[in-house]
Amino acid sequence: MRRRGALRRFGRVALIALILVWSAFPIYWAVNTSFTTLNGAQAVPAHFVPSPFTAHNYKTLLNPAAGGVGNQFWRSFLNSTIESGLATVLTVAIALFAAYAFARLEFRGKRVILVAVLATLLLPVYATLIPLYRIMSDVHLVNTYLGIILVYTSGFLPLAIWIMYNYFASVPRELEEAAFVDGATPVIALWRVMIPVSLPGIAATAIIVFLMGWAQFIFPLVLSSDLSTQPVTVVVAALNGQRIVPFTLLNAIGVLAAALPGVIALVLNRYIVQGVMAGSIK
Amino acid sequence: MAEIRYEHVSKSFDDNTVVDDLDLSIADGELMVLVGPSGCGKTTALRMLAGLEELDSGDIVIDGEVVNDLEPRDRDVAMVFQNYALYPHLSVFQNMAFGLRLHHEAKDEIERRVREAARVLELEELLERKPKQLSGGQRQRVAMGRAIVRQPKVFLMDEPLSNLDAKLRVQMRAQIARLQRTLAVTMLYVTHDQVEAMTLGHRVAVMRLGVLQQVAPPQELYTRPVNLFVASFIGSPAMNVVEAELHRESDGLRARFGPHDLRVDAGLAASRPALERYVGRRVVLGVRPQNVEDAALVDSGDTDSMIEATVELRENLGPEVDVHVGIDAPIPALDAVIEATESADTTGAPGVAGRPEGIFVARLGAGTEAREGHKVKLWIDTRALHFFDPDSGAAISE
Repeated sequence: MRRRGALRRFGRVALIALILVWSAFPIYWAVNTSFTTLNGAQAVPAHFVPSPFTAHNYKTLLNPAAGGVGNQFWRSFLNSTIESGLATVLTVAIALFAAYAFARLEFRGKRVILVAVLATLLLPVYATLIPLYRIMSDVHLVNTYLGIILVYTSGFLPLAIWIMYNYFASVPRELEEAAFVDGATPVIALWRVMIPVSLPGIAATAIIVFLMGWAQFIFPLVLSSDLSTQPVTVVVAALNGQRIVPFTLLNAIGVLAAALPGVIALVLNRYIVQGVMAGSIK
Repeated sequence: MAEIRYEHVSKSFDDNTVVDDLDLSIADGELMVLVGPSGCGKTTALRMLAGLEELDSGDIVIDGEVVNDLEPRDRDVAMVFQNYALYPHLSVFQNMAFGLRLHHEAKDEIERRVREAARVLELEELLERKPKQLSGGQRQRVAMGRAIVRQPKVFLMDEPLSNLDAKLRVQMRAQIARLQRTLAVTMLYVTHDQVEAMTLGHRVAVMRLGVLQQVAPPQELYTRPVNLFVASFIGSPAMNVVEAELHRESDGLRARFGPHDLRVDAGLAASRPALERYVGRRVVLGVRPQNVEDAALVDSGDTDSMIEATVELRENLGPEVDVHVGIDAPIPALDAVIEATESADTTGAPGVAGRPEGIFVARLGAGTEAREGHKVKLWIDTRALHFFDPDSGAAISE
């Protein structure tokens, strides 16, 4: 019996290690490459620690006077932040009211509308790419922040509504009823009770939406034509295609571009778990 | 301070009538308990008074004002929920102050009232805690405090003690009774626990399937139930009911069931002239376990009020002994009885739920020597017999 227990534990550890290597190795390799020279990165056999070690790539990027690649990177970083950030704010704001209505109010066709909203998740997103471009072009929103933010929001809303709907539905009705009896109007009950109680769910939604926004590639590639709106994903891909930028520097850009969402995901991880797990455990 | 009236109030969910033509008045300062098995409509009745459920028809009147169309916030009622519904993101103090702040009370007035309520409820040490840091009993007291500080016209209690363990429940029951007396506030209290109802209520309203069965002070409910449902629901252990046949002999009215034949007390028979109509017919005979005693412990040679039966189970309670005896007579298979006996008692009192066919429960003095498997002679207080119409289940009380 004891041997079987040990074997099982070993198996579990091995599996976890495999998954960890599988998902973490590329990140590790990017960091490794970003801290060495081109020659060091191309050495055979490969170095598993940066050798020779240099922070040159980061210096290049962090020095605003350097121009060129550094400027392109920071501008696109700013674009990504603005586009993902504002899309997150807009998505959460709309999803908040929609999800509340689906979870708490009684109205005709509620079920049908909710299912219809969710069904849009089943649509292959690329099928909407060309029509969306046509629409944005018609209303002169191509290559604008507003255009990209609107497209992001429309794409993220169904999932955001679904997560928040589940969270709201898991909040006991009595909480609001207690507020009503205590003297609250529906709006006050939503603002003073429902939203504070649902903060983990709202935070989870916001984080997930922000991360999805940060990872967008195809849509901004089509909808933005120059550095005024191109997010970091598009710019990195473009730099890669030019074959002028050393790939050690490209890796440094990649590390920095992944750092913000990475930190957000690590720090706020517990909100994501809490929010998405709503109602599943008491 | 308020008088409350339900006037022909009805409510359905889909095709299911949950409250059916409810007429009920609650006097100013009265503690009225609504009791009944789950699904009897008592909670819906309470929620309609709070404004959390709309009426289909009828009126609810608070202090002479019809409140049907008033929002909960405009009714000046406070409510304690079964799960307490404390705001989890607010401290105990903020929970209690929530309603006062919404009513724009002055800051020092809020402070004063919350501190006062906290003192009464012994929550002073806990004011800065969050609900999840409190025990069940403490949460319950915070929920009470939140209601008290509002100084509302009416207190509504929706099974406020059902989530507490037995010991705490008894303590809080006493505290609620004390509070209600001190504040002299009108209170409507909903419970499924008939012991709670009997001990707390000035009057108790028994509901079944949305229909009000009887409203009366606890003692009257116990001694003069209007029908089989109330009779079986109120009292613990539940009343024994058996199909009997009334017949008249030279010494008076008698009730025969199985091999047993009891003489109905002459005084009782005289006060129930309607029984005459049932002579030669079936009735349902009701005997409370408390009205049965081991004949050996009774100073009576009157064999006409005795039955002999075999003890199937003996349960020692300390000061008393419950014995279950086989009486070999049919139990009326009326829905009302089945429902009442199945759901009446949540305190785990012996021999109530699912009492098997032909079993009588008797609560005997501790001195009884009744033993399982042996015959015992039981004396029945024939002054306290109950009779019911076998078809309608209504008490034959006139």
